[in-house]
Amino acid sequence: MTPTLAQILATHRAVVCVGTGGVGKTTTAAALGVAAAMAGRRTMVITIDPARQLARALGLASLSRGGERVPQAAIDAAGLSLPGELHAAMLDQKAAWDAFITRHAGSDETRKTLLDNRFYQQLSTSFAGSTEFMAVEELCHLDEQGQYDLIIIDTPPAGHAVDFLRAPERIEKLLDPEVAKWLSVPYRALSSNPFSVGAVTMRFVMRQLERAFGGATVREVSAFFIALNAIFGNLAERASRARALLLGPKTAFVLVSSPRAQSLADGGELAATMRGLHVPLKAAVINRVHPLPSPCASGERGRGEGPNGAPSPELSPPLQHWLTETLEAARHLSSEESSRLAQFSASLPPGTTWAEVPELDHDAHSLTDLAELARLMGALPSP
Amino acid sequence: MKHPRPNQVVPPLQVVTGKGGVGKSTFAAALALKVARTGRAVLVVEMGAPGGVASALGVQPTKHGVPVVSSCGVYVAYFDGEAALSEYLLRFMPLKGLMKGFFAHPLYRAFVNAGPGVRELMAIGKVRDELLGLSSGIPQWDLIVLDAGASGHALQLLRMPAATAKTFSTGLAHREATRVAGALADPKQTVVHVVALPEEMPLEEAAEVVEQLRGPLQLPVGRLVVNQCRPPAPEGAEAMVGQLEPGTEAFVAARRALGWLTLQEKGIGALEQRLGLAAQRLPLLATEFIGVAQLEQLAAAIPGGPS
Repeated sequence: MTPTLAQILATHRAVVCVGTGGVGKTTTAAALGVAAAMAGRRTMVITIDPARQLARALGLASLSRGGERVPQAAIDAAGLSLPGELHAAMLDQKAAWDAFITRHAGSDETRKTLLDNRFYQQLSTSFAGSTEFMAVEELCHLDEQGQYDLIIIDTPPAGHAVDFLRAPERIEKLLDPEVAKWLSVPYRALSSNPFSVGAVTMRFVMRQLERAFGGATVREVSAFFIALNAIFGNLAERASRARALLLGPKTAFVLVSSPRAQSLADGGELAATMRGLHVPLKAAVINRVHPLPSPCASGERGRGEGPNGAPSPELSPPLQHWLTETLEAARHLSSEESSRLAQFSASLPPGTTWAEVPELDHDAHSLTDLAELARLMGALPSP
Repeated sequence: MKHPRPNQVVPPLQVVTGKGGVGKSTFAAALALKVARTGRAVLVVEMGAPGGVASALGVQPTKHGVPVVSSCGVYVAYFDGEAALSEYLLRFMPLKGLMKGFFAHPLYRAFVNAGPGVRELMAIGKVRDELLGLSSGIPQWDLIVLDAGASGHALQLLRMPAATAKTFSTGLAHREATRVAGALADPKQTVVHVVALPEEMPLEEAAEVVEQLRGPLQLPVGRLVVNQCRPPAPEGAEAMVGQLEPGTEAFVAARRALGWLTLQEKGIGALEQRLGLAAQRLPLLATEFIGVAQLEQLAAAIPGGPS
């Protein structure tokens, strides 16, 4: 039987929310966090998005890297009971990289060489895939520390959310030991036989690189790769651990989307990529759906409303026109959405949990709103 | 509020960004169409792969850097950073025959992968080259619209040239980065348009992007566009909805519509005040599908000249 989101939260160690930008991924991650804490789990929500509004909704002044526990006062004010714990943190990728290097450098010298290297500094702030890699690394780290029962992670708002899944692979490519070998070996080759094929090739490549990027840069990048090579074993082991955690039974991926055509198209592409990479997609959450009550559901009619919900003649023409148009547009939207969602849901692997969340009349501003979203998703523990 | 002066030069590079899913590509395509309708040669560039602009205009560019013309006269191309880098190096390096081996060498690959911003820099550099007509000898375009992608990515793209100019203190990459950074920061050459939806989060993100552009990035801000705006409800709509029976179809539809309108007006008002910049509203269209007919409607609604 297909589990509910509440059961998924209860039976996993990590939940990864994936999806394209603008579909309410961060809010979904937070709502799931509230639900898990309500079910008694010690929960950490890591967001990538520096959404101040989310921090406020959680009763926090801001989201810090180390993580903050949602204060009891905020929980009480929302009238909620959280037998577990709810923590939230924001991923600061530069700080996460520095901590990562410090943990794995082995020697002080390697650590210092790396931290001071300008290439490292750029890598840690802006390498494409760097945020993704650090998000996964942070997940691994928290998993090992064992301070939390459940870690919920929001993935970067990349145009192509698949980048997240490919991040460990990209980092591994970057850390290709072949490269460090090239950078350190040729000097030996040059001294023993300056006319060997290896030495000639190397001189050519180095000269071109210097022309392209400047001599100082080439020296600095070389130093960077050689230092990285010293800790390559550690990094490779981390990358493979990260992959094992992501693909293992302890982790559930939740695809977040909206009923907009573009979001569903992107979501479908993401789901297909996940299948290809054997990523365990457990649930799809569709935010901001616009259902309508069925037209014959109500017996009595309000004033100003004629048969079948049509406006009655007592309204002024502009109002009547507005109401007719609004109703028509809402019916059209609702039917378009249901047919797109039916098609999308059928394209997901059988057994994927499905949740449709109607649009609230405002964005989530409080713990109460987040708990309400969690209820609509079917993520709250059954009473 | 900024009003374009009549004799103001239209910056030839028009960059478009905004939060994911707000219709950046739609706006980029509509803006290009508006300009093309005045008889000027317009190219829209997408980064990395053909995206929303190509699909809205019904074209399928298949090769990096090769523009394809759409039925409405707008040209569309996509630029790939790594391909642009090889092209650039080939232009300046001797021994062209050996360069293929150089591009395949693991060390070069490592530089391209590790040198953050190299691809982005080269892709933007190629946009500049296109404007200057470097590939064909004569400038072909009056204007290039660059769909720079979602704001996080776009800001990185725009920040890169200045950042790489510092990282690479010498060499071709330094020269290129300095040239591109200068062009981006020049309001006569470049303008950045920020797109949003009339909803809380996209408006907030638009405000942050504009503040980033004005502050740390020092790049010229152009239009603040709000897509999918709804027309105001007629007088008395609130009172009427209050009288409909809760739970009926009409009640739900009307209340939802009024809720959207409230968010729209409150959000846009707050944004305009925060930024001291008037938002340009584009109408919500009847369908989600975007094709040339829809772009025509939007192009007609874009106010003023193309700057």
